[in-house]
Amino acid sequence: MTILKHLIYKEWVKTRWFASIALLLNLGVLVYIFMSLRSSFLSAGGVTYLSALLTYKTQFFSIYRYIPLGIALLVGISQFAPEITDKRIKLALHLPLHNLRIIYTMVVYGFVLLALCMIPGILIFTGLISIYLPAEITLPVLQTMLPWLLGGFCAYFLIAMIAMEPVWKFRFLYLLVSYKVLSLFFMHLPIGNAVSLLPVLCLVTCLSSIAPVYTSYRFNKGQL
Amino acid sequence: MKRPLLHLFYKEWIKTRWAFLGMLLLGIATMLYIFTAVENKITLQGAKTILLRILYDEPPVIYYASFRYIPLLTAIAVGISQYVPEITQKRIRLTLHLPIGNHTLIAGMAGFGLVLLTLGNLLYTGLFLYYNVRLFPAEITRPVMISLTPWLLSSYIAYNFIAMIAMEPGKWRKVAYSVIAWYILQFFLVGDRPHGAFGASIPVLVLMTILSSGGVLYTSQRFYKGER
Amino acid sequence: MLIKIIRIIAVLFAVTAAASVLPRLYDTTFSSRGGRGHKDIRYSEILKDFIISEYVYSSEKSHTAGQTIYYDRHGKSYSRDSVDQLFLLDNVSQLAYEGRFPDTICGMAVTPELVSSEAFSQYYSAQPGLYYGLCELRDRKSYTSRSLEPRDLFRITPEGIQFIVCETNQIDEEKSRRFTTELTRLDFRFPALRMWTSPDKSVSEAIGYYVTDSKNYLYCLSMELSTPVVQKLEKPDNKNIRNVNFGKSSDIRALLITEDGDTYIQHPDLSYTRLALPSSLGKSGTLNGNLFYRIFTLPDRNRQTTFVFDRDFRLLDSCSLYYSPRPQSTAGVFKELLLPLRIGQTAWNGFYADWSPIKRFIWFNLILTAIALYYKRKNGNRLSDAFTVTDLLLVVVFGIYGFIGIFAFPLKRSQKEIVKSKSADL
Repeated sequence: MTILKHLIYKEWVKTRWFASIALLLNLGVLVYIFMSLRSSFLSAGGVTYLSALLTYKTQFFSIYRYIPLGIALLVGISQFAPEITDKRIKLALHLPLHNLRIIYTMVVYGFVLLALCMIPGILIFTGLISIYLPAEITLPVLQTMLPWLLGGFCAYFLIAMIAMEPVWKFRFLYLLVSYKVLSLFFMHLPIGNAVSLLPVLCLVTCLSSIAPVYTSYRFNKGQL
Repeated sequence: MKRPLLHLFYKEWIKTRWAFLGMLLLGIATMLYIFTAVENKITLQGAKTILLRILYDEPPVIYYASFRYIPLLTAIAVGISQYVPEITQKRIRLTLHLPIGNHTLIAGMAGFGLVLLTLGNLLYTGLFLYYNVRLFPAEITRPVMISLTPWLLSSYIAYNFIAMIAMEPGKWRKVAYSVIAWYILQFFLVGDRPHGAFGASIPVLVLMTILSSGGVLYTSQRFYKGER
Repeated sequence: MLIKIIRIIAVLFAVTAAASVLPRLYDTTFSSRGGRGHKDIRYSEILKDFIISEYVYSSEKSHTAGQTIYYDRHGKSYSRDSVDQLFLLDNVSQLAYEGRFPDTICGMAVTPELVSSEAFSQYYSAQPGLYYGLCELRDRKSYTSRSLEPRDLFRITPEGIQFIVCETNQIDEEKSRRFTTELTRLDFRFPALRMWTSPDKSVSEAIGYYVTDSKNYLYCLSMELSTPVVQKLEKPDNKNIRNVNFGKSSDIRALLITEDGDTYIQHPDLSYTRLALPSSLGKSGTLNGNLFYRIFTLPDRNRQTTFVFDRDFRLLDSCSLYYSPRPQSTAGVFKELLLPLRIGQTAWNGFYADWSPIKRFIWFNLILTAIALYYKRKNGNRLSDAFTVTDLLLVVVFGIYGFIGIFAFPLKRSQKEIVKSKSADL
């Protein structure tokens, strides 16, 4: 058990600075969205702004679209890039623990870190925009942002998978496939329309969380 | 003096060749895609309609919009593949013990990267001009090339900033410089306006591009001194 | 030495980035509440005078309400109902629907159809718009047959007029030669300075293009049954033309603005009437017309002037509406104090730097310079060093941006300098 703690601490040392950047970025963008909402709301007048929002369905929060992806890149690359450049994963895999456990501890750690970076920001954001917007608008906004968050998680799992893959040829292929898979999450859909897509996206995310197993198994077998 | 520089260039080429060639491939593919799409529209709607729409539609039809980030991505690919190994593996310390001055070394690395980017930009421009001149008269080609110029210049800015940021020893300063680079790049990555719109800004943009090239020398000196 | 110069350049980059971002951020965070009254002016044919309507806000406890008030130039106010009586030409459709439309207005027999057919509204501008030099020349008789549909676009180069067939991107030599010969016959000097046509398709087909040649003479270029029709036109009072706007009503063929800002109406018989308007240079205005009047509205710095002409284009009356300047909010004052300039980029005019009034920001800048000086001395930089002085000057000029810049890019001294200064102290 203590070995796991050491492992988690090692991961924390690797990622802590990048995770704090990610957290700041997340909070910064969300607060900026809220500030510009407030600014438009106050200058146009409540009634005018809300009716324009409902008529034109403008996505005032659309600049947040790729932020979860950016956070996933920050955390994922800072966590896995040292493994592959320094080949340090070999050392980690020689720890007296089952290989799968090690990989999975790393992935779960990253997942929790991502959640900690994204979720508090989203909660604060929801609270803030509820000052100005009724629930009929806030809920579809969150529904539209949910695929982006799921995309962030999925991207992280895919980064783990790609990093673990020993052969560059396959890495490139996985990169192409990941690009296509992730484009499912970040489509330009009208507000609230993503609801019907959510079950599929959740399924894709769960499947991608199992993906690192396959590649780390191949890495471990030593196909370098 | 010449020989060590050539060795340096060869070392840099080994580091960057796959990233650079990969991005060139992507850029060429994007270019081909742009013109295939245009020719497809011409076949469907007629050349005159398409020409008039490109010229006079509001909002403007920017048929080359897919190309906006290509020079930038090329610069990022070259910059990261060239400088990240230096800082992660602290290999720069070894290089700095070569028998050429530190500044010459860093300038050589940066110069190599800039030459590579120029080759890439020339390739993109040449390909674009070849297809565009075949399809459209000069009244379209000229404004479109003016619109493309800031995007091509953005690659140099991005590369110079990546070099400067990579060599910077302090973590939070790296973040600060990235923020500065992001906002400077916003001046270059402009679009959505009619063709030839930002021609008046090009002299200032060229000036900014030229001035940005020295940045890496400043931070590498601090890196060399071992400052925090 | 070189490094220090590079550092100054880097500081200037930081200043540019900050000057483009921070003002926007400030505006987003501290915006002023909206609610300026909206003013409008109309000319009543019954009253033979102007009526001004204004939408005024009255802020009560927590919600703002607004209502429209009407008054004339002398301050007399009108109620909503009485105002409706004064604008018969404008309210045609409503009055006809209610069956209240009169048979005569100002002694002239009218019907609703006559009045509504005479009403039009258009923009005109003294500034030439976006121009690429490549246009489509349609046949005057293209409504008769599909075969007259042009497949080419034309441009007028120093070598003559060139018709470019779009499908092949090649020049149609024969057609180009025919048109060039016709143009040369009328002493057209190539290349053309500018070409204009009406945005209205049918008017554009009928009239064609107004072209100025390199000697600033005006021509009308058009095509009938594939033969060129070129006409040399008189210039209004022999002045060079700045911009041409085509008219929407039957008595105005075109509105020409000349180089010195005068506005001329070109009638269908190609004669000109000069309008008694002030210089329109750099402005765009609106033209509203009805059965009796032609009403021009020109904007200005903080006002808008309306000119009323009769159907013969004689000036009847004019009135200026002044916009009260927005009172400066505290947020605005602080902004001028804190942020000395704003750097941005516009599409056609390139970069701009918008400075706040110097009196406002110079005090804050000097305070920042003092703080910077304190920190510099703490780090051991002496004022005798030229680069320290440059740093402080940057803070004086650019204020908070310079302050951020010089601390983002530290100026640590080399071993040599530290030793030198230590030995100087001894």
